[in-house]
Amino acid sequence: MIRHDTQLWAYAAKELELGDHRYVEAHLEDCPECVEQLASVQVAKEALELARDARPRLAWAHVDERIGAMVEKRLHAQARRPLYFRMGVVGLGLAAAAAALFVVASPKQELIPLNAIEQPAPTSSWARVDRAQGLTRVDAASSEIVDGMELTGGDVLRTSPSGRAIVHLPDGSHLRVGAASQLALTRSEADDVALTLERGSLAVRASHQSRKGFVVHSGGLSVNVIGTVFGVTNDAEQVEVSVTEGKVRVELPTGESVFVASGQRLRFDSKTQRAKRLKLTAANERELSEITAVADATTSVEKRSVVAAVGGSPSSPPMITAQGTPRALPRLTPEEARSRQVEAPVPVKPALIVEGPAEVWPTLGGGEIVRGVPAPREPEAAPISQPDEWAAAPVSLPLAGERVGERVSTASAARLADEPAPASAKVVAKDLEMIFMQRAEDSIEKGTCDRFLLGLEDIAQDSERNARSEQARVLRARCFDSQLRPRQALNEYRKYLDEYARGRFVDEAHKALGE
Amino acid sequence: MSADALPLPRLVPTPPPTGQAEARLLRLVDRIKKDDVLAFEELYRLTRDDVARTLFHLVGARPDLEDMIQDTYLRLLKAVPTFRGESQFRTFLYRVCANVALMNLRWWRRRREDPTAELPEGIDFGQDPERAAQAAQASRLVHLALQKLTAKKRIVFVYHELCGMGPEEIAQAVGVSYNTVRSRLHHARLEFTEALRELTRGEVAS
Repeated sequence: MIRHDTQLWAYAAKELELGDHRYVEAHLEDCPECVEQLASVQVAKEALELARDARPRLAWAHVDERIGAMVEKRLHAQARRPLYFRMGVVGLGLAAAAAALFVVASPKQELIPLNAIEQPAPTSSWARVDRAQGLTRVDAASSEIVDGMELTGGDVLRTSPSGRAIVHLPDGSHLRVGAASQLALTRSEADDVALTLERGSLAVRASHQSRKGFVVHSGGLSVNVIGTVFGVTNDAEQVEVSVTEGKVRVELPTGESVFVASGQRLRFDSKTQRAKRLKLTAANERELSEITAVADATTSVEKRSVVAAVGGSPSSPPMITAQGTPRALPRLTPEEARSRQVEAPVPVKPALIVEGPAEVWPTLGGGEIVRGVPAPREPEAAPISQPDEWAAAPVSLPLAGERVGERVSTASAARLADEPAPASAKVVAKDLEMIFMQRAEDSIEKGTCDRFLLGLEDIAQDSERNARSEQARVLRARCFDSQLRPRQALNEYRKYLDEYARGRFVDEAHKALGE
Repeated sequence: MSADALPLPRLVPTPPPTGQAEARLLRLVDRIKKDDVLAFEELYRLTRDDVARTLFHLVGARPDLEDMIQDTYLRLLKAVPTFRGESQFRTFLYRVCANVALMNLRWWRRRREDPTAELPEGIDFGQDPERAAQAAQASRLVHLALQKLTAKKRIVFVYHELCGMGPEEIAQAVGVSYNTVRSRLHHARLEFTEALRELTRGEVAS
């Protein structure tokens, strides 16, 4: 008997070689049984064709939630090392301690250090204040915190009603502490972060680094970070969690656990103990976009600083180097930190130094370095060769109306607060800002403006609104636009219209916003 | 030359890699290997429709389809660190789907219950009402006919006829040789055609 069935499906699907195809075709003319079977095959193929696009209707929200929870649980479990691993670590620790004891107990030998540079201690558990305004540490002395100071787990931060702060956590995440807020860094490790927002507002840009956990406690809620940009506000009566990117899991005091995804807001009423899911408002998005911009700019600047450190030259374009990542930062001793906080900076001429060694020096104080910026120089300014004497770029300047000259020329912190800056210093700061903005404007066309974003934001937030701060806001918008980041660009234009309703660039802003 | 002498037909070759989509998935896999939760979520969003449709074709309209999807992604999360990029990621994903479906089909078979006795409801057949009606009828018959196949044949048949996979890719996804795929597909086609013919006759008679 002829095996019709062997070839008919392949024939109908046109899968046969040309010779075989023609053979079956010729055979079909003499075989009515084959024709009948071919019809069945074709019916089957048509049915399959119709059924191919069918897809089940599922409650995707429910499935998404289940899988999100499953993934989080799984990755948390992976983060926790097994017992034998922990035992191994403890064993290694004991062995290291025994070895250290042996070395200490043995007769000391005079060793010539191969590298005289002191290696910085590991700083993985150190958070750093990138920028601070009206920020104090809640302790016995209520000491004020300045830019670049390092924080440890257990520190409680408080901002004044007009204050704010940007904090860089050891895991690479960024925080923006809003005005009149109090935040406790319960745990601040490279792989484990826990924060407690006692009041006020907090915006978080969580890094993608793997870790045991990142949780924000506030008003009885626990916000577990899955990622990445979210905000928490606590005004004693209500706690709100807003998310612009990624997703967070919020554990309510009732024991219930809910997910808040991008574009959503969860409001928890402390009195009624009820949670309500709301949409994100434009104001929420604007607030949270700031921490994104700061984090992006810092990351970008940090990346560039690495390049500069390797291959920078005095003829390079103005290079802003923010402090490195927390791990790369030279760790300050408590004495150094105290001196930065209380004692006066070394008097420095209020001048920008253009020349300098080819190397890029790290600054110790949260300032960024500008190299090669032509700036007026005071006649008495001596050649400078020390890192601390490099002038800070305007990117770190205008917080709280601070000026370059004020920052670098005052004799003490008290004097910094009490006395007005010399007029010449203000002139220098103004010139510096103008030069900086000119450079920023030029860089937009070259597509390298991202490193100027941070500085432009500082200038734009100057408490004295002026032509420079106005221009800085527009330059930020243009920069975002040139980098194909329309959302951020539109946010900048909205801010511009809020701040300068009758400004010089109103038409441009309206046009960009499509109004 | 007689038809008896003809070997099993040579099957259509595996379609070429999808390029950008595959590269994107591979980048996500690299991030997942570094415990990046967001990367896994993105991978889930990109593949969930495909996974749901594949599982639906493999096992039919079942009440535990959501559980199977969750099981698939749990297995995928565990298995991704072992993915070495020797095959396409899609193939790797279909292998996970096949394992989940196989377990499910065997489980229902042991219980001697028919979870798809009911008409498949909650299935999207597209916007066009006329075509949707035809597709609903065809889908019901196809899934009833597929139940006549053994689990292994069903997986090969569904992957080739409904998911559009080539035999080499199926061989990788199922973990068998190319010739085994050809053999299973051949027998599956015969059984499926026969089952569908019986079902159609029954429908006409009733």
